[in-house]
Amino acid sequence: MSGPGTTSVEGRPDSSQVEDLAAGRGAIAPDRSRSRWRTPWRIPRRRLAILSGQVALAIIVLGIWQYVGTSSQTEALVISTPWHVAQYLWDFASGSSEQGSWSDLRVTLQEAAGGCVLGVAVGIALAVLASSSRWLGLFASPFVAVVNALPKIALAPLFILIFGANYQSKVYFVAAAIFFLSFYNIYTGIRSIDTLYLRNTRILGANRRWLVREVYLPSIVGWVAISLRLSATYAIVCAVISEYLSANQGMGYVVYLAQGVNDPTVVIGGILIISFAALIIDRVIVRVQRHFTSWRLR
Amino acid sequence: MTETVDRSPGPSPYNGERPAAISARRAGAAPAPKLLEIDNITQVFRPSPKRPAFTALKDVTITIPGGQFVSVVGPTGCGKSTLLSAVSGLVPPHAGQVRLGGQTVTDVRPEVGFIFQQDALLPWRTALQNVALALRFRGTRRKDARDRARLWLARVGLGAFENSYPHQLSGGMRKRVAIAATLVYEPSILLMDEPFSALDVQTRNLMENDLLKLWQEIGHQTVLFVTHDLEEAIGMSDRVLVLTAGPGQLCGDYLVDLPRPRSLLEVKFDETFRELYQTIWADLEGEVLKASKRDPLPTSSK
Repeated sequence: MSGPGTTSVEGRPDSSQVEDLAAGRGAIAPDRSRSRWRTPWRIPRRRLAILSGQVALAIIVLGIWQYVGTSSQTEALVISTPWHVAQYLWDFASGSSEQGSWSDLRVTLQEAAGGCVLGVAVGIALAVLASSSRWLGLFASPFVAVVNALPKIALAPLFILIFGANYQSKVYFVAAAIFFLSFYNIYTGIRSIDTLYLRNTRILGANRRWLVREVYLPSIVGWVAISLRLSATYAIVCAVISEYLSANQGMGYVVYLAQGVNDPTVVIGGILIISFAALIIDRVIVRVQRHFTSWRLR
Repeated sequence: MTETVDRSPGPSPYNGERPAAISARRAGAAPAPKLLEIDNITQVFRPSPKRPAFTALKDVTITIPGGQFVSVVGPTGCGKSTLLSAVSGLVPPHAGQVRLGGQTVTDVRPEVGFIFQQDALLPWRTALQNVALALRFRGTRRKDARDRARLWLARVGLGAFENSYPHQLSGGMRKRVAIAATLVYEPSILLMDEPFSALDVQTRNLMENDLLKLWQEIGHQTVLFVTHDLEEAIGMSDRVLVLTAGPGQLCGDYLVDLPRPRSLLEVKFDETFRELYQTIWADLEGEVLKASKRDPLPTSSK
């Protein structure tokens, strides 16, 4: 059977095909009428376009910043330039900066971590207690609602007053802020455990100990893992803010000092360092979270 | 935790025996089937102090000899699920008694198996772990429980899916895991609350056949099967009970005289089946219409 695109048995195009070729229909060679340019590397074309756009935007923003920063003395005092910030970051990383060092970052993260762990632990304990009895839950709920509505960060000066301007006060402050976050999440998590699982596990023969172990604990762990991401970032924010208020070490202190002497380079650089650290921690937690909640659809 | 479970460990049905010993014991002499007596039970619910109490079941009395497959049909809201909850011991009746083998049922009993309508598998455990759960609760060692669970999963045809989580399995597969998880501890009475209603029709027929086959294999225990599908009810059971619209009362008790083994794909064409279907439907139709508060449909000429 001959038709467009085929050759006859002898290997020569026959008359019908010649007509088709003349008319522009079909071809013996593959069709390249649509542009299908592929990049040498494996990124598809559209993605490459978006990426180029993003890089271009970043370069433009940095360029404007650099220009404004170098155009006048007053501007440089306020916003610094990307070059200076980069220099500061380099000095910080190599440990040769006089304003801020790795130990400052370590202190801030330690405060955040310590407060987070303490807050989550107390949150779990009280959430379990509150959900174990309906009356206890009803009794506590107005108090919980009121305290929940308070902006926790506004309480920071109170903690400094009570515990002093030291490392512990920051840990307790972070713990208090995280406590309310995790308590509420875990409390609602426990109460929202489907009674179907409870009934089914009872039918299968579980006593209370098994029920806690097989139904409540995995639920709580799941909820903690999910709220961990939010808790971690919130903990870092609280630690930095309490350092703004009163400290003698830590990244928040570094930024506060720099702001006091009108040094925008260190202010911006310090904020960037804190942000990078928070980003890395967030990514790690996402990995951990995925492991513990692999049974969820998301 | 609004449900307080007060369970003293109690005598384990296995009494600490290893599974091999249990199988040997069972192979020798199956335990005597227990008589299920539902004696004049009434179940009343009061959802909140403001709303009036409503009666879900009223004066229901049924006697089920051991080894009988009984279906309960009725319109929505007739108290079928409430009946099962009462028999299982999860929600004891307001009045009246349920007796299993002569003993009153006041709390969940270890020899009762319950397959729920919705998916009750623990989502944070794999299929194998879910099936092994009941054995672990009853004191079997982890390795032995796993081996036994593996056997049962193979028996329901899911041997390759041991390590899958429920969300990775289809609806029919999850149901099969649930069946394996219940049958693994060999309950002497099986309660099923519309187990196949969430599946599509073809899967449902296949699952019904599989269930009947398994039931014959494991020893023909008493089954109380709640469904709204009359075809399924007659096809699977030895006896069909009809409940009225709420408050549920017993209004029909029919024996199904079809020979076993049955295939649900073919039994519906049987003459006896069709007669029985018409008879029971005559009872059921009135109740269904009453429950949905509709007028009777115009009947085609018979």
